[in-house]
Amino acid sequence: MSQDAGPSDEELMSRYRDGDAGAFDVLYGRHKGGVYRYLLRHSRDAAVAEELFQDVWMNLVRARQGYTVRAKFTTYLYRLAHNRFVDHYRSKRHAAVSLDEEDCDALEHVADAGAIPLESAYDVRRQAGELLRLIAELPEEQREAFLLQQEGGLSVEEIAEATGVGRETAKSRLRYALAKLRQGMAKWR
Amino acid sequence: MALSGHRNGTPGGAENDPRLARIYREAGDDGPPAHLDAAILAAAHREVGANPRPFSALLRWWQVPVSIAAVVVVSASLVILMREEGTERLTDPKLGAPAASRREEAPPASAEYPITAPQEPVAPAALPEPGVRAPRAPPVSREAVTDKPPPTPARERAEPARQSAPATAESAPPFAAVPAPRPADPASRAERESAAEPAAVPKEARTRSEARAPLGERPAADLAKPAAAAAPESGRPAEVDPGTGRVLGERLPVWHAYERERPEKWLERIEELRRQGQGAAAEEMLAEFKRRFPGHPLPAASR
Repeated sequence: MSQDAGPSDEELMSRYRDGDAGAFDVLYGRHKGGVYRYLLRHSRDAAVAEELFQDVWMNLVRARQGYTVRAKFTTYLYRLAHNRFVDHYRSKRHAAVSLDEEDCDALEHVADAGAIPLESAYDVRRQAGELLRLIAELPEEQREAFLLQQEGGLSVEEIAEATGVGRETAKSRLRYALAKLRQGMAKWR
Repeated sequence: MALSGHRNGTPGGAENDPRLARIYREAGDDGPPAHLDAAILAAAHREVGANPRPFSALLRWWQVPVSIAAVVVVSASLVILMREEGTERLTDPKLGAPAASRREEAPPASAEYPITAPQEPVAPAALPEPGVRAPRAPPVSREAVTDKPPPTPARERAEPARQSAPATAESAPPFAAVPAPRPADPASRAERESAAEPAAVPKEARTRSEARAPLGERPAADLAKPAAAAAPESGRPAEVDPGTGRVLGERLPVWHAYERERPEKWLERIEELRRQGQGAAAEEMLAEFKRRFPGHPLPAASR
């Protein structure tokens, strides 16, 4: 979610809707990385990520005529990505882990991120690899909530809107995700 | 909930962890392959080219100027319409407005509208009812309407003259209750048609009528004087004030009551005047008869 100085995402999308193809180029340049990484780290499959990535952007292109500024463009874009991801895995009968079945008491003793030592660049890269591994092991909803926050820069409310759940649900998913990641990174203390 | 921003010390609270975010950013900036970028961008451009502009977009672009143009057109139309309505109202017979505005629709002198003024005095009851348009008046020259000074001071003086002066086609009051041509009398109508050619109008009569003040500026009430106010048939011709162009005098022409009558009636009246010893009146009426009915045979006494 990098937004350079210049027209807002919403303005660019409106201009593209009205026929300005150049506006789409700018918009795509801003968000292609975040959407791709969201799909890649969410699906954990590069081929699937590429397929879904193309579908997401083509859905955006096709839906341009009906676009109206009702929310942040990133929320709109990541909702398209979320919907495409859900459709894909629904068709694959992918079983998602339900957050409601989580043992919340286990999170009471998770160390916070401030305890993770960052000693050298090498250690940072190793920690990043470990973090990606931990993200991949998160339950699907929690992983998605974390990725939407990191890649899309969405707030809890925006995550809720993008994923079609209530604010409290999104908040819980994000909290659990962070808690598990902190727990997994505790050895780097 | 066990984790809270206060307890775990993270500045963003339990839903935000800057240290984890920093490590996550170190994980690399993976991006889509170049061929995917090219395919998506090409498709996006193609889509715009295939559907250049949706109608809604065009509407958004044009609705403001189109709205402004529509308002301007409607406003201009209203102004023009109100001006025309105002002119119509000014010329309304009930309001005694100028005759100038009627000139547009007033036909030229013809058999339908004899070139002479109504011969019968106009009674108040003969005024048109509200909403009933007065019979069309013969055209009044534009100069006579626009170039004349306001007739307010001369109104009183000119009023009797209007009632007695032999009006011509150009000076007939447009709002007077001119009797409609009588279709039941085709012979009389044919005679009028033959006598009402514009060429038959004496030049001096036209000049006199053109010199008159616009009749339309006179109130209708002025012209609605009862018949008793009409001048007696003295045979004395009306005079014109060269300064104001208004007709002086208070009488109607001797033949005014016979304007729509057949030639035989005229001749009978002429004979009657002679028998009554009103030779001047008889001569005046005979002269008018000859002007009106040049081809009609005259009795021996009148030749």
